Amino acid sequence: MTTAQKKAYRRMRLNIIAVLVIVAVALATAAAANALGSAVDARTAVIQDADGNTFTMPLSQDDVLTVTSSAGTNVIEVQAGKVRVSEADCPNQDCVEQGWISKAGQQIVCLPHKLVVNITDEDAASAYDVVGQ
Amino acid sequence: MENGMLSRRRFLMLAAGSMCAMAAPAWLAGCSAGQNDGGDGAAADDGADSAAYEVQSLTLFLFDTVIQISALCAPELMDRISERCQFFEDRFSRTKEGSDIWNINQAHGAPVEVSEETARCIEASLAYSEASGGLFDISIGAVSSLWDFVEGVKPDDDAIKEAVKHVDYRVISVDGTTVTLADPDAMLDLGGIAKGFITDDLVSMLREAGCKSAMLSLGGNVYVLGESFRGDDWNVGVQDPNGTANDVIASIPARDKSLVTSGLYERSFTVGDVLYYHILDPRTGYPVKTDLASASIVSDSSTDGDAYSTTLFLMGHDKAMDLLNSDERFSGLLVDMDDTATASDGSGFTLLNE
Repeated sequence: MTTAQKKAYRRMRLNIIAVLVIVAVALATAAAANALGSAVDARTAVIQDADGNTFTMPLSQDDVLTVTSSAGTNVIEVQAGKVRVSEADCPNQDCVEQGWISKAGQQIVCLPHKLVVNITDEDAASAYDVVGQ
Repeated sequence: MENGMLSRRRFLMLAAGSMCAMAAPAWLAGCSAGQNDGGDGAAADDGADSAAYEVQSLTLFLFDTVIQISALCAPELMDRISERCQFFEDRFSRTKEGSDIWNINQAHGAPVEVSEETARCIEASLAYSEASGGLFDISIGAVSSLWDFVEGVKPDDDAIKEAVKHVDYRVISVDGTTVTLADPDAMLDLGGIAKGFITDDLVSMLREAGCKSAMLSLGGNVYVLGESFRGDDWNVGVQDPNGTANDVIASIPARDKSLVTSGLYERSFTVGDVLYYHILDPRTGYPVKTDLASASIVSDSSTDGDAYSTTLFLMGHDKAMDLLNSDERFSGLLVDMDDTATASDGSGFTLLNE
């Protein structure tokens, strides 16, 4: 093997290694971005009241919201990635009895107060578009 | 020879560039798939006509429930949909003074002139009553008007016994748009079919206006039109009817399908030790006794689905499953009291508790 041949061979080997490194880095970055994407909790409770007001509560953050409309008052509670109506001054208490929901597409309704709690999710792959019952 | 070869630096730059180009679409796809509610994502790969539209959403409180509709369409179409819902409320309501059904129930046997839609809905109901041997019966009105599931009032046993004598679909006759009840004490209640009938009507309206993507939920009765806003199948869930889990028990990918569920979800109350659910048995006048916690039915027609979901629920597990597996219009999911979910043959449901 001449010196020139050796040189060319070494250069080719370096190139192959470099390409492999780039491929590995690109794949790792894509995987990390994916993992990061699904780890971020994008679920949001969207509350609509009788007066046409809309409120949002991210399910990633514990919180309590009191919604008072012309129809009445409902207390919405977000805890540990779930949402419920914890209190309401409606006659039948169906909304309170329904308990916690956590999946996109699920819904809590307070008919007497014309209040709806829907969950939406930007991460569509794991979400239901709509849930029948 | 050296001239023909790429320099190492250029080669590496090209290689790195092409890797980035390969990786980028994955990220972009991940982003656009998330825009299911914004509507901007849906226009991307769609035809010219729907590309101009954004997702319109509508929430209405009618038919004693909540109606939510989202559609890729012009805003004006949603206004018409909203008016159409109000039109049905004003004719089908049992409690609204002056509605077609209210007029029939106040007529004490005299012929009543109704809208074409009401006549059609009653005629459809009579066909379901025949087919189910009376398990489905809109003349349940005499009994359903006694029960109050909102305030939690159980009627007198004697009152129920008296009222159930007037539950018999065979007293109803429809001649054009004239409806007559041969029993002056009979009363109609379209609660077991109205939402399905209205859903089909709204779906036709959307289709005729050129809408290719929409999702309707009328109090938990679901219809998915065309493809999802993402461009793939709609992902439709079924709520677990057994309260404690309060989760989704099964799901199904769907296009142009209705999913109607009858079940022990809400509107119940307790007197003493007895829990009363809102689905009444036309044979007894009391809430249904069944081994099912819910029955879901997938069909092309939501009117079919609505009428048959009640019938399936009354039939109980074995007969209901036989019907789902033998009638090619239907597939479905039954959930037993112990929370066991069973899908009919080839239905495409994914059970989530397994």
